[in-house]
Amino acid sequence: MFPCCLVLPAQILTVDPQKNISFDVAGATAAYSLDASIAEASAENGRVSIAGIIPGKTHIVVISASDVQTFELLVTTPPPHYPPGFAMPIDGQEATQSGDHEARYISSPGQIQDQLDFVKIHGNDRTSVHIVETHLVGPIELGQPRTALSSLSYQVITPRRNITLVDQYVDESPLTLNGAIVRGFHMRQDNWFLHAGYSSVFAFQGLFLPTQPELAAGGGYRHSLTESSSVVASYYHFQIPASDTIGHSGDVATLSYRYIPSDKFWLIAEAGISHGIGGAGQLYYQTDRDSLVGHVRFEPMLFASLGTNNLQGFHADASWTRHFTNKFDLTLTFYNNNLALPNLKESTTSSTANLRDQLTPHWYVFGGASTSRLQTNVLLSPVIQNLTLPAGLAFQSKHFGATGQYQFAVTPGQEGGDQFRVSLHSDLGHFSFTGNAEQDTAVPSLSFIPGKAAGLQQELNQLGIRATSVQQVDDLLSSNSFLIAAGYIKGATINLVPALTQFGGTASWVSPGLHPRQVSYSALFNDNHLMQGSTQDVGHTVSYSQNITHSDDVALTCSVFAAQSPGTLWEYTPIFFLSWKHQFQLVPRFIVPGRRGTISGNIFQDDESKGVWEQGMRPMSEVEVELDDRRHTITGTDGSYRFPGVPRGTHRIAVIYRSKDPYFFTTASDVEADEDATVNFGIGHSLSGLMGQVVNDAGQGVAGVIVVIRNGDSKWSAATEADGSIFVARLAAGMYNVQLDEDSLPMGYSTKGLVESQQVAVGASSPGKATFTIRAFRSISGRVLSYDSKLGQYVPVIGALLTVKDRRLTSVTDPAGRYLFQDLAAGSYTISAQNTTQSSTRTLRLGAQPVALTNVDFQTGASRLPEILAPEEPPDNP
Amino acid sequence: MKIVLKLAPFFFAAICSGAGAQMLVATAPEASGMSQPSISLSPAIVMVHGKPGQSATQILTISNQTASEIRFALTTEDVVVRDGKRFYSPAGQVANGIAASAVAAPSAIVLKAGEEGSVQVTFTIPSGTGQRAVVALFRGVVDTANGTVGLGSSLGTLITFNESADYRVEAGPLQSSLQTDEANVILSEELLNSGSEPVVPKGVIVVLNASGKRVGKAAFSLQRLLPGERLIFAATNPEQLAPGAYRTLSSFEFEGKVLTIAGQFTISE
Repeated sequence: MFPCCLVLPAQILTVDPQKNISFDVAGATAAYSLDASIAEASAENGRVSIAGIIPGKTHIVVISASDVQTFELLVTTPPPHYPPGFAMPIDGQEATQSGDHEARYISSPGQIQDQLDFVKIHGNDRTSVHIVETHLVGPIELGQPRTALSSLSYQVITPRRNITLVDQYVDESPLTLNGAIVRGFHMRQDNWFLHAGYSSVFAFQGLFLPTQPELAAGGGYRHSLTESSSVVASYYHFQIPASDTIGHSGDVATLSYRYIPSDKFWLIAEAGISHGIGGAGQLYYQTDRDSLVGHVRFEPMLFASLGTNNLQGFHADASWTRHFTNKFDLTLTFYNNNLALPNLKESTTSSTANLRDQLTPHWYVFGGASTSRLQTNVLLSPVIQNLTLPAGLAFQSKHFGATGQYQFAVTPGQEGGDQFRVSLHSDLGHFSFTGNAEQDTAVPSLSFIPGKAAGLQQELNQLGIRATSVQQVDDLLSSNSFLIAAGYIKGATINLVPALTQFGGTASWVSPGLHPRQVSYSALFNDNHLMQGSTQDVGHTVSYSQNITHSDDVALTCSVFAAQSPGTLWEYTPIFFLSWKHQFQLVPRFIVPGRRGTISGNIFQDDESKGVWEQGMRPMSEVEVELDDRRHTITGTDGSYRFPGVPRGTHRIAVIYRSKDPYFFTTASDVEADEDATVNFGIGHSLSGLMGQVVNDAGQGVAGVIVVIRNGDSKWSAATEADGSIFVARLAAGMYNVQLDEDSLPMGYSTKGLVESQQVAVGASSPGKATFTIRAFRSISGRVLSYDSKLGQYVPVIGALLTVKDRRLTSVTDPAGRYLFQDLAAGSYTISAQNTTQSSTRTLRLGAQPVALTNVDFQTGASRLPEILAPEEPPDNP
Repeated sequence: MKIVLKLAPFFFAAICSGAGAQMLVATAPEASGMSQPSISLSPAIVMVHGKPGQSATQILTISNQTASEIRFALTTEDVVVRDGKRFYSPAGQVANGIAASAVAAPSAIVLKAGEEGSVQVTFTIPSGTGQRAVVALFRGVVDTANGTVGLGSSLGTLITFNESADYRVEAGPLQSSLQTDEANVILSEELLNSGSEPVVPKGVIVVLNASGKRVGKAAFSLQRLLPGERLIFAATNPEQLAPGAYRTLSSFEFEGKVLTIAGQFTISE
């Protein structure tokens, strides 16, 4: 019956959305896609073309003169594209964890460092661990430990609470804890916060510099005034060892007001009392045109504080920048800072006006003026002032950029100087280059005597070389004032270098592929022309890094720094750095133990389909329950089950029920639930039913008949529907006695034979069936009359014979001329009445319903008897 | 309410033949300038993959956008196929039927005008059943001053079950209608689901001329085939064809398989 059918094997093709592919199929004349919304296909001269439309799977059929080929086609799903700055939201149920271990060798100071970082995020909760352990491999001073736990923190963050154990960088406010690493206990819950511990280390450029342990203990409360404003009251106690000259012991109580309507505008004002009254303020304001940053702070000299927060006296700095237009840009900057350190007091003011005009899409010109003043009071030094007038030209394209600048510098007491600066950069695929050169006059320079901390001098040298303006030098001093206060830098002075020549550059290459490699080289040459001669610094650094595997990276850096002062030889310092970093996809449980719960519940027999477990329900024992397709358990005699130690997250719990009898679940048989859920399962035994039908002798259903079903002492009854059917559901398998209630039979039906009941088998999964047939009363009656002309009226015919055609039914009229046919089946009846002289015939039709046709009379005196039809269906049951 | 009663046959027909519909909407005839009262049920079709002995739970949502409060009672019926045709049987009257296992919570809901409500229905697939579909029917009753009036209509969700990978479809010969100036040729295939799982064959037919060039392409109407069911899949060629003999290739894809049937027909002058 079904010819011509081919189920063809499929070959797989791939195409991107909105892309085309073509290939040859010998003799191809036509092609089509089975889903035109996913792809379209065509063929001509043996060349098949497929156009991907949207991601999905379909099939392509290619037709040639002798063949039909089917190809499975996958239109690929492109990777998601997120706009810049888009942060992937963390789903409430999503759990992520990661970590890495990095082992580092640094040649100067000789040390091996191990750093471990793990983080586990679950919804809004986050747990992280950070460990840095340093092992010194070179010569060490007497009493200095060879191994130190440089940094250690264990942090748990929830929406309500934030707890950090051991090390935390704390920056609460300018007058209390202001950028200090405190080793101890830290907690923030709702509006309360608390810090208690010792500050014993200072971090600088990746170096952990030890300090004397200083105790800090205190906390505060934040009270919200509006959505964007709040006041914070805090109290701290600082205990500083007597030998520690940089911190000050005592108590500090502060009250601060914070107004933070957005991340582009905020204002903080703080007042505090300790050994005297202090105050501080911070302002940040940024728009497309203006940028304003200001800090002001005053602390009496004995104001209690940690050593890392030792800016006693008055300090202020402010910076304001304004951009007027996009193509024509005017930038004005004002900066002022007063720095008061134990051995250094200086005041810096600078202002700058820069103009930039975009001539073409690639070319710019710029110019401006800048003035600065630096006054060092301790140690008292001459004021450094200068005025510079820069002008330059810049070119910027996609792969190349260059800037050339000339500026005329005027320094009081010095001759006016010409200064030149050139920089360029290029980005060519996997290669990138940068280069810069400058020749300056009257440049402020920071000089110092480095302390004993290994590695510190090199870092400071690099920073100092790059600071070539008054503001840069001042910034360097301010941000690292603790180094001066703690004695890591001694004799810090700011001098004026008559002339400076500096040039440098970088080159880097990144390989393509899954495991990219990167090679970079940088060089810097600096020559300070002093009165007594030149001080030269040269640095060369080569770095190589490679992603070895999906989770392993190595990096190697070799540097050589050379310095020469007047009258001395070149001094070379080689530095090697080697690191290996391995990323983890999972966090070991012993490091970040996740919260665990218990999933439990009951399995209950629920034949009544309530779907909910209630006390007193019959428990189902020895039912298998499965957790995440891995763990299994069996319900106990009380129907309960339990999975302890369930990791946090969503889990699948399923019931594996086996029974030789049919059953059904009144709850879901497998559900997803959290680690602390109680999950109950209901199982009902499948119950079957019994179908019955009551029909009359004409096969028509009889409505309203009560059917009684018995099984033992149980009894059910139901009335038949309009079609004579009943269905009694939820009967257990077994034999049932079924009979009709004769009192419920409608009128017109015989009750004979109803006493007999039927034995009906109901199967476990197949319904039983019972059918009852009842007999309807149908009759035809009337009289046979003849006309008596003498009397002038119709008179009964006695003994007339009435016969029913083809049914062998006869009746003889009585002395009143009456006849009767009863117990008739539905159908057509042709009745003939005969007397001695003549006969007449009438045809009647009896319907399926009970009926009693009366007055069906025969008049033998009539020439022809009319035919009478009985009503097919009476309007109501008789 | 009478309006809804008149539309009752449409609702049920939609249940029986819907393959891609997402929602059944009972809509009153358009009244001038007035929004149409309607009753809607979603989803219209649910396809469940499971194993015998497992249960499947589905939430059905019915919306009453009429002006009357309606009480909806949920009943389930087995969908059985006999002699290639689909029949509906009340729960419990089919041996090993799925509908008898249905547990609805709640079993009835009363929705005021403009409200919507949901019912959770759980089915357990009996072992050894060959049946693969049930229909969950919402029967509505409106309480009036004179008693209750049944809507006489049912909105239903067809729920099909897949237990295995036994997907098989057989096709009959191509049938074509007469092309006239007023009607393009209609090409049809009778498909029989000879496997044991429901399928929704998605198919196209292409018409090739004597040189094998494609001169027409049309998509077959999408229909759901229950195991043992036969249905006619028809497609109308989008344009008039010149007199002559043509070959056709009909391809149906279902569950990753492809069935391709060759045929031919002639357009008379």
